[in-house]
Amino acid sequence: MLARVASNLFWLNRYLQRVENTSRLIRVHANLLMDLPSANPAVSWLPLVSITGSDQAFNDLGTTSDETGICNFLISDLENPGSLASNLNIINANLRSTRDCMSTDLYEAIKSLCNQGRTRAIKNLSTNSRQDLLKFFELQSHVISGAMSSTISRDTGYLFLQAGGLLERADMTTRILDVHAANLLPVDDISDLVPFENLQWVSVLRSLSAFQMYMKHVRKPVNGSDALSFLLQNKQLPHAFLYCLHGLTHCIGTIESNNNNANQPNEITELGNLIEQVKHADIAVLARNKQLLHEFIDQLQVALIDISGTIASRYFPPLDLKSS
Amino acid sequence: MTKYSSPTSDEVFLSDGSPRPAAHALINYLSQLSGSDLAERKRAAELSIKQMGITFTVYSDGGNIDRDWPFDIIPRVVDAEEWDKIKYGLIQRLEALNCFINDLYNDQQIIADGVVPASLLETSCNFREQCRGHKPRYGVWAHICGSDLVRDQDDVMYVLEDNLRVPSGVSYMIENREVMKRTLPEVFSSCQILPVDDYVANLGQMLRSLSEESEPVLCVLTPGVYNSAYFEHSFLARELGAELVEGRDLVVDTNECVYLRNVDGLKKVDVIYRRIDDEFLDPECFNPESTLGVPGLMRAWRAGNVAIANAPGAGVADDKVIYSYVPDIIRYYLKEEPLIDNVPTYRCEDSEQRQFVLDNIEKLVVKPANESGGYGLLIGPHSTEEQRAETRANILADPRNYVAQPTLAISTSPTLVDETLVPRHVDLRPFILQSDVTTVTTGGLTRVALVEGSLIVNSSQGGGSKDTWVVQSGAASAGPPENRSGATSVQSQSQTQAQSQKQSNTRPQSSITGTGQS
Repeated sequence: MLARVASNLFWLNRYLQRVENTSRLIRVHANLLMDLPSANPAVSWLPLVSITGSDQAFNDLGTTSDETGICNFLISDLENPGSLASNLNIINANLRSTRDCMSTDLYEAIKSLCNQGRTRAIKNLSTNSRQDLLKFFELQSHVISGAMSSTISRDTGYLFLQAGGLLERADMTTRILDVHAANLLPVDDISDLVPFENLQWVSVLRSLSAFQMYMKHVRKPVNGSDALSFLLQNKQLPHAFLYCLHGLTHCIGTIESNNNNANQPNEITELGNLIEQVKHADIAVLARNKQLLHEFIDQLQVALIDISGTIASRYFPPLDLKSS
Repeated sequence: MTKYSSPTSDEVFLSDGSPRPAAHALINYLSQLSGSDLAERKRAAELSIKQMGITFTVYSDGGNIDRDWPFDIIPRVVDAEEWDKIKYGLIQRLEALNCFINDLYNDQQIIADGVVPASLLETSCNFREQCRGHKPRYGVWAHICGSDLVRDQDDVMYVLEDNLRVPSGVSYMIENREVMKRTLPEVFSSCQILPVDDYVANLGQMLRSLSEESEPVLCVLTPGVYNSAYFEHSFLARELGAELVEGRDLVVDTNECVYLRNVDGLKKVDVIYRRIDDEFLDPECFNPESTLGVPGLMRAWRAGNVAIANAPGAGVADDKVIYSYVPDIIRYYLKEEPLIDNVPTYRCEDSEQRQFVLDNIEKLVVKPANESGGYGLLIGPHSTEEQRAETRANILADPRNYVAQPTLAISTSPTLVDETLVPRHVDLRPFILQSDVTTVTTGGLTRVALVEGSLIVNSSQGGGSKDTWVVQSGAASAGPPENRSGATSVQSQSQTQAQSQKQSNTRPQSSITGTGQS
């Protein structure tokens, strides 16, 4: 498999995951806001800008921080490189070089996400059509992962697709936890929001499609500690951090065993270390102290960046002229 | 349809308004459909094209650079008997051209014998000194040729030009057929339409035959995702099972072999189907600014470690002045008369012919010798005084670089415009492959000028395309193939969950006995 194409596949699925997760995030956030007292200044759309890591772009563009402004910024604004519309453009361009690795079903599913999405992601959508559009992105993403799972051979290309998707999902889980759990929960200062704390944890779970699975497997009322443990340490929930890391470990191992390259270790050290760190984290303490939680999640994100860097330097750069 | 009338010869209808014999079944079928039925089918075809992602690329379109392929659902029909003659003419032509190219880069016997003047070569911008003395396998340089054919009002097919550099369009020929099967499926059963999709198998076989390896590694070398023919590069790579590579994916090692940069290291490449022009192939050898190419590729090719199709330098015969010598070239190398005619061509280099061109420019088509895609062309009868003056000046400044031909009344084919069939001008581009054997596509890509009266068929300039049906007219009147009735094979039913639960209640016992007995 060509290194350039492998890199494109890895990133293709990262962007696809990003579209799915960002869509769900905006939709769930809108639903949460309907339940919260709107007069409170701490309740706003701004956390979404931080979660998607676009504070800088947001300030540069001088977008208004009301619902319309932020939704335009996140959904349709092509000047925001992280908007859904920008993501779709990147996916569309990426598709040109990865098409020959795909089945027709998969290609047509992604093409339809881009075509329809780019037509419908316009400015100042009504709340109703905005929610419809976001739901479309989520459902079409499921069509895409269905096509990926049932029409592609488990070859090296597939493994890079998977690796990209898992890494992105792990990243998104930490972002949602970080902002929702730490920043959006000013329980220390504003006591009248306390009754809503659990409501916000429900929203975090829903943002990760994890609420029903939480109810089914944890079987306790939603609370910070259990929710945090479920989202970080569970090995069966597709959006749980550890689930993603285990999947990634498996992908890398299989890529290496396909490669038959004796010089390379068949694992990534940083990945193993990160798994140990999360497995042994003291969740109860983290759930009570938002500063500690924030610092912990920061470490996880730095580790993910390192892992992505290791994958890129091991598989994607132009190789030097060493006859193999 | 009764009002249909062509200003020249037509591919489907004869001058008396009746269909050509090969088109009987098609016209019978179409006459059962109303205008709105046809328009509906056209919309369905356009949807298929969108879904299948059949596009061509336009540079200046900003973010949205892919346009859907413009397609007309009324096929152009060619009689299989006529096609057979054209096919042999095309094979003869390419085989002679390859003898010519091989001769030019080696002994230059044809120049010594005075059939082609030496001056022609000295002024050719596609003759590559770097290729002198090379002897590619089978003596073949142009492995893939796309020749443009047109039919004049006298009903004769002419070769208009031979594209020997990086001819494109074949993927659209194959996809057009696919779209037609989705759009007018009924008519395929009443008509003996010869299939077109053996091209890719022939192409694969031809490319593999260029290497001595038993399972050679093939790749398609593209200039990249923004090239106007990128769709085709990607299509062919997928269909061939070849790697689609850009220059930066390849590297030439000190052993003068070409390698792919793979995730697990370097892998040797045996055959490169290149879709980039000579000048950009190798910055060491040609344009040093080129970032599309592969440094050292020419060294590897000359050392015989990699085959390149078409070979570098093959474009020397893709020159409109050399075109005018093709009938002589065929007679010289093959000792045969040409089976397909050339369009009569005036060489501006020759002072007598040049004067004729300058005096009659308003009746002629003037072409630069080395442009493709219809650029720099002057169509005399459709030109302004200003354009003619400019072209006259260009000819006088560089006579070697211009030829002129009479303006042909090229044929039309019925095309659907707003629910009615109207005549639109068409050409035909078959593709010819040569290595140890020579093969020709069944028909080719029919391009159509969608604008009324226009003669320009290029997709970048308002052209579209049609499916091309080579039809056995003898069989056309025969009825539909026998009804494959009675699906007699009885398939076992799909298992249901209920069944499986019932079975799982009984299975343990039988499986125990099973293992006991074995």
